[in-house]
Amino acid sequence: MGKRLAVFILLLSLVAFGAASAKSSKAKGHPEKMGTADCIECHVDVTPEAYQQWEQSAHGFTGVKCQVCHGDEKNFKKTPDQLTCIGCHDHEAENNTAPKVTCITCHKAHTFLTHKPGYTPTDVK
Amino acid sequence: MMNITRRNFIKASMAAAAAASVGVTLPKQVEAAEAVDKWVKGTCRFCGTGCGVYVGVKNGKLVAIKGNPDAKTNFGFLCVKGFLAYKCMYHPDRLKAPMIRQKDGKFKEVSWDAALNYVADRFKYFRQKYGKDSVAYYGSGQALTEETYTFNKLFKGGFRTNMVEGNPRLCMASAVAGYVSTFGSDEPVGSYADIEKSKCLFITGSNTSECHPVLFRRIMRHKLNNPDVKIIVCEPRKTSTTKIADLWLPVDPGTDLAVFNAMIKYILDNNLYDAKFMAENTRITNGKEVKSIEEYKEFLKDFTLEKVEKLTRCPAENIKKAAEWFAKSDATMSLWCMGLNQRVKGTWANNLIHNLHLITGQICKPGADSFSLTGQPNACGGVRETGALAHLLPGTKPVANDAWRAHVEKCWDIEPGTIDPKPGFHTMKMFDALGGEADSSKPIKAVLVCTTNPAQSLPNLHRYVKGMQDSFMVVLDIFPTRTTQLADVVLPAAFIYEKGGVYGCSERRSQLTEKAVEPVGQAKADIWIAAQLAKRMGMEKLIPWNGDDTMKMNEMAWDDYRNITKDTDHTFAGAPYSRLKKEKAGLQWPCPSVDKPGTVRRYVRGEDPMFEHAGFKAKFGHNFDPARKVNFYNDAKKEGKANIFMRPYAGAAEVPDADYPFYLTTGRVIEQWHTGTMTMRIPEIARAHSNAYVEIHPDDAKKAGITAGDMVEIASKRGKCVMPAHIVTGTLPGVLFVPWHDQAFIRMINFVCNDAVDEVSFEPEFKIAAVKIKKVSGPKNVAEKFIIRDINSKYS
Repeated sequence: MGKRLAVFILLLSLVAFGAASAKSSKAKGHPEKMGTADCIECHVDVTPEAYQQWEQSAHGFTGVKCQVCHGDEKNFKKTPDQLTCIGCHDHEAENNTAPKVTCITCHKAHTFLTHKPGYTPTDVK
Repeated sequence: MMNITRRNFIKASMAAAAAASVGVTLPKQVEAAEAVDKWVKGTCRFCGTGCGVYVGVKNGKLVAIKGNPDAKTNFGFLCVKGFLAYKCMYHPDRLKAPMIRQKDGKFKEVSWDAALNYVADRFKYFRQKYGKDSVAYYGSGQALTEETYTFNKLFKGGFRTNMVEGNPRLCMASAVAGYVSTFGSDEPVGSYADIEKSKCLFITGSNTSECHPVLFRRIMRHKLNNPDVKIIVCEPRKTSTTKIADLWLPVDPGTDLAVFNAMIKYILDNNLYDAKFMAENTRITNGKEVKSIEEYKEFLKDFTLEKVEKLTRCPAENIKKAAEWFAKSDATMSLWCMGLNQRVKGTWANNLIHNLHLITGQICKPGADSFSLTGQPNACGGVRETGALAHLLPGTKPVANDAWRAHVEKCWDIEPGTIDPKPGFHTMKMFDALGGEADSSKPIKAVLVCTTNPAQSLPNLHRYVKGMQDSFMVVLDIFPTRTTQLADVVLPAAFIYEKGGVYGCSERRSQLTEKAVEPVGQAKADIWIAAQLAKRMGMEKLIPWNGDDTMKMNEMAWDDYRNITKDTDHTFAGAPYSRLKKEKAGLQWPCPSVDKPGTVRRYVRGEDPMFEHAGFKAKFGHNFDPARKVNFYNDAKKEGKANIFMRPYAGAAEVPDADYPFYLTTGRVIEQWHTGTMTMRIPEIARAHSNAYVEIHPDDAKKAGITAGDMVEIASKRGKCVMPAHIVTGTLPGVLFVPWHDQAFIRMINFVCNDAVDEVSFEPEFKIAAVKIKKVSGPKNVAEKFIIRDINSKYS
């Protein structure tokens, strides 16, 4: 059982590597069945660092949740394509000073901050 | 055990995947260029922000959407609904053919001719047998301006009835009444652009982060760039909007009038008011007489911080700080929405926010405004401005106004005296008066419902279902809904990008959406349906735009509307289609001529073109004192002043008691739109808040023996629901919250809500009901993403 799990993880890693290396990312479907759950319900536990980074980002503040960029069970994309980014950031994409790379090369998922720290919210009085 | 194993497995997988991707060079940008054949300019279909979009068309179908970076509303950004929910237009449930309900209770598909002839014949029959007011129209802040204008003209000018209402009565009527009573004219003084110029933002009765997420982005960005900007949030729930707030004013539902009055009292008592602005531009009044500041202070003497804290649960220190920040900041902007409007004292609540701005002079200057956020994309442009409510005519002017009625009759080329001077019934009264032929107590026998879902969205639903069931109801929509379940005829409507037209958002800005693709199936633009009905009822001359080119029809209707309002402060005389097509961000009225840019700020000399508008001055007899920079020129007393209304405290129609000990308040969540007919058909969205739930404070849950996920019954005097419990710490103890998008009968919270109305605006008090709760079982998974799919399904 342990051996089969290890092989599966290895295969999944290769798939992930492949997806990131591909010329354009393609819908592969979510690696896990999602049932009726919302993405965040699991990912708050399974990828807590990504969740926390997202929560403190502009996307987190404005409710741009996982599925907006990554799709969901059937159209899941580990790496969102450029068409997704330009949905809101068309102007920035057009004026990209480093046109040979995509948005996420510099704007790291899931913080997207490259140049300055964000406003740090505190518990409201 | 299975769950833990699965999660650990996913953790391991994600870690491996993350490690694998380190150092990988990401692909060049390649996809966007080839993804679409063309991008077509338009407006987002959802909230009242008015986000500009481009929709991507490939092979005659919409395949993508992106924000319009040149739009002055969203600067290119979209929210989760705007980005994903347009896809619902290709959902297999789209209504694709006209249908008539048969004797066996089932719908049968028929031709357009058969459906339209049938509706026209039935409408003629009812009008002949029961009188002109027996056939009503119920429209929507989501229909296009041209569509609503056409139906309004057909019913008021053709059918000679003022039984014309729309769902903005349920959301914005109190804002209209507030603006009209205080300033003499509907809609805000300033614009969204004031957000970035403000130094203090007072957000009350609005969960902006979820209900207007793209505007919230602007607020968030402003705060991020300027940490010294103060943000105050006043409402019972510690919503996600408070994430960026400096100060929260928690209040029991319906008690905020006392907080606003306490702030006014503190400002007056501590000389934080702008005496010069008040003297020049305002009058204090009790509605009958003009009063002095000293008399206003006397009127407010009981609104001490300590007394108000006891009444509202809002800490006195917070009220004091809010009043100081509001008055002392260089520019304060208030933003509010349904939390103020959907109340029996909604108009007064609106007046009090305006008062805060008028006594402090925090208005008519950059960054300072009293700004009502609109819930729907075209409540302002489509319904308020075209006057498609029972008491209004185009230009937001009353049907009871003899001169304006005569003006509209002249413009419509109909006989003087055609338009009934008596207002029709407001929405709740209209649905209360709706019934079958067998019931002589119900004077309205037929209704045409366009782009809205009253069988789910009306409050105290049990009271109104029978009327909808028994009457002759025609529904124009794109999907099966709770309302089509009660309909006699269903007409398939085109989606916005299948027909084009104008939407006017919260900031007086109207934007043109171009038709991008053909409608699915046999679906037709609502304006075509209206014109075809007119033609069949012998009113072709009144509605001459009855061709098949919907953009041409839209343009004719738009020009008709512009002609009526060209000499009003709502003027779009300078915004013909030829210009709107070129303008990337639309235009804000007043826009009296094509050489004018539109108006960012009203009532200020040099910024508002009405100061120089000869036609306006001549038609309405306005004089502008050249010495005054600010002039509230719609003042009924012709003094150019705004009213500071002395409003006493009044609470909700229904407050908790021993039998119903909790406040219930309802609202929206970011992913879902109204009754979920569109958003629940998008898989990525449907899984987010796929069912209604009740938020309960931990203290209340503990007392009731409720733990997270337990199924809880929520009951008022009117109805009950059962749904899972969410235990949350943010909401005040004693206050429950339920979102209202769920279509499942057992979770339709509007059965529980109160239909008591504001006596000025006639807007019902959705936001406040007294309820009791009890646990009915342990957790159940009810996230079945329920939607009405079968057109022949029953209302149950």
